[in-house]
Amino acid sequence: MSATSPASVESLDPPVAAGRRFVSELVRNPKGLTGFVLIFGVVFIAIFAPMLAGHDPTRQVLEARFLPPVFAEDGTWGHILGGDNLGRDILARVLYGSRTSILVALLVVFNAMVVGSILGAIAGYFGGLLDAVIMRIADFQLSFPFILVAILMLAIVGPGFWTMVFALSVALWVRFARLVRGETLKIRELEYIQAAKSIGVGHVAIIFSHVIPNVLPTIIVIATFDVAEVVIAEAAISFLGLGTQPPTPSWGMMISEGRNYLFENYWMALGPGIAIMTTSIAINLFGDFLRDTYDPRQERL
Amino acid sequence: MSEPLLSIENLITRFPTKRGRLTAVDGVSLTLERRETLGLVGESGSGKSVLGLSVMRLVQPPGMIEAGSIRFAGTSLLDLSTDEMRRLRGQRLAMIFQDPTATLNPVLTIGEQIGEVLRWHLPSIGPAELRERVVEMLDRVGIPNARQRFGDYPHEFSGGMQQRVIIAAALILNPALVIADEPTTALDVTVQAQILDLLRRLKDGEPETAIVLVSHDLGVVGEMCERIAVMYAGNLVEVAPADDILDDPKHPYTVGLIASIPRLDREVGALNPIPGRLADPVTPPPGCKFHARCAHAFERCRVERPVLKTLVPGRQVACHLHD
Repeated sequence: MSATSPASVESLDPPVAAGRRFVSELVRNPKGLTGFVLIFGVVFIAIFAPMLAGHDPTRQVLEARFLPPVFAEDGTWGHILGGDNLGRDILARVLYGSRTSILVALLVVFNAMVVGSILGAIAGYFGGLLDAVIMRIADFQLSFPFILVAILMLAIVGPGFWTMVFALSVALWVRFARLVRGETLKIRELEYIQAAKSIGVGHVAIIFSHVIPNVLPTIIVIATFDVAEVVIAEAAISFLGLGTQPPTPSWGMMISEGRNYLFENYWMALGPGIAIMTTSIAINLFGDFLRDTYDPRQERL
Repeated sequence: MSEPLLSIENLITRFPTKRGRLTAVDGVSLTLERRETLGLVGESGSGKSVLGLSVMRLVQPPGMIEAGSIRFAGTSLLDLSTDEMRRLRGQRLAMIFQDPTATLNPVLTIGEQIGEVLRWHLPSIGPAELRERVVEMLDRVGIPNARQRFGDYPHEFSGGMQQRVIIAAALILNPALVIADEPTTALDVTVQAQILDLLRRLKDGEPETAIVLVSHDLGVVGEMCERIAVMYAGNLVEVAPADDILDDPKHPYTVGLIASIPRLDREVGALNPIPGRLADPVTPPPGCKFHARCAHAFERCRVERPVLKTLVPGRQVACHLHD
């Protein structure tokens, strides 16, 4: 039978078709394209920072102390964004700082997404006591501002890069949990869940192969917005001295260091500030695009 | 072989509601032989779907089976652990639902969804063999280009084709009992006929499959089934061979159901609905639940609930008129 049918009838592999759709939607959406290009740029910088920087971000050069940026009076092309209070090249530090910011954001959002989605799906699917316990913890946590929860966690476990990742993940999971629980409550009543049960599929498999794939588009959209928020939160926590520790450059910490010299040497905070702003705008634009294109509630299946 | 495939005894399924306990299935006893096709008819809310779900033990909480027994091929289903019950579903017992579009998960390919049955019940099956068996089954249910369509998503199929996919998933392991809950209600008439025809052909090709066809359409059931059970407000009111029930209905409710079928071969006139509404399942009336709508009701019908009695072997009716 199948040998006689022409090969051209065969449809594209789902991943290939999905990839083509992504590209064609992206080029038609200027906002999304801008976001995508900027994100690509930031990731590129993070990966190739050593080749692009031109200076060691931790090397202190006495003559470069408080050196103004190239566009200001007395600036030089050798240090385009100038030097900081210890004579380190600010451009090199901004470029290297992208590594910390992006790594933290991706790790935190990934942890929170996985843990939050699974707990939310369990709560919504099984209901009852399990639901009550998980969601009361979430409600309790949501009654505090996100950044405050993270700082509280850091106060308990102590400052540092990995503890910051842990604290931010703990602070963020509740959003995913609430969202996924709500969607799960809706999905578990649908007939295809009943149908899956009627062919003998177990509860865990129903959660992972029937419930979560249906919530995934929404989860991904929320995740992109949270990436932007975590970049800013990392900056805030490092600014308070609880996150990334010197001499590792991080955008938040650079702003924190620059704060003391803001009136005389504003450029110490300018570079990292622009970097944070650009990254979060880029991710938000891209997140908007993903939502418009993939959220099933916005038309199409 | 003397034991029937399925025997239900005094089954009671209730749902707690704000107004009180709603009795959806109220003491139903029914047997089904191997290879038999039984039609279960009744109007909306008569409890026929809940009866089907009760046999699968898939009644949605807070609803629950409160009393009775269900014996299937020698085992008591209500005494099985949830895990043992889960292993029977899909393998020995299967269900086909009403709305094919809602029954298929929109984000999984049909190959994945049919393959799921095999993966759960035959854990050692390899991907190539799984694919082969699914394709073969798709071919049997009449999906053209089955091999190419293995990776397609449900929305790429028409309603009738989706129902074929669901039938493929239900029948791939040759279950002994298939409960088809209004399998053609959501489809248009020409497709209905094709699906019923498919079900009949698949059943004839199987050594032991029995089908319970749940429907509100006596015409569909009369064409497909050997026996018909009529349900009213949670009770069975009449059980008889299909031809007997259509030619000579005994229960006034069955008479009304048959009279209400629109006929093209008679003079054009008004439809003949049964007057009144279904009895309230939370606070059922005393006596026969149908008495308020029955033209033949007499004093006894208002106080004493009739039980299902055998008139002649194979024919049962629950009505005081036939005492």
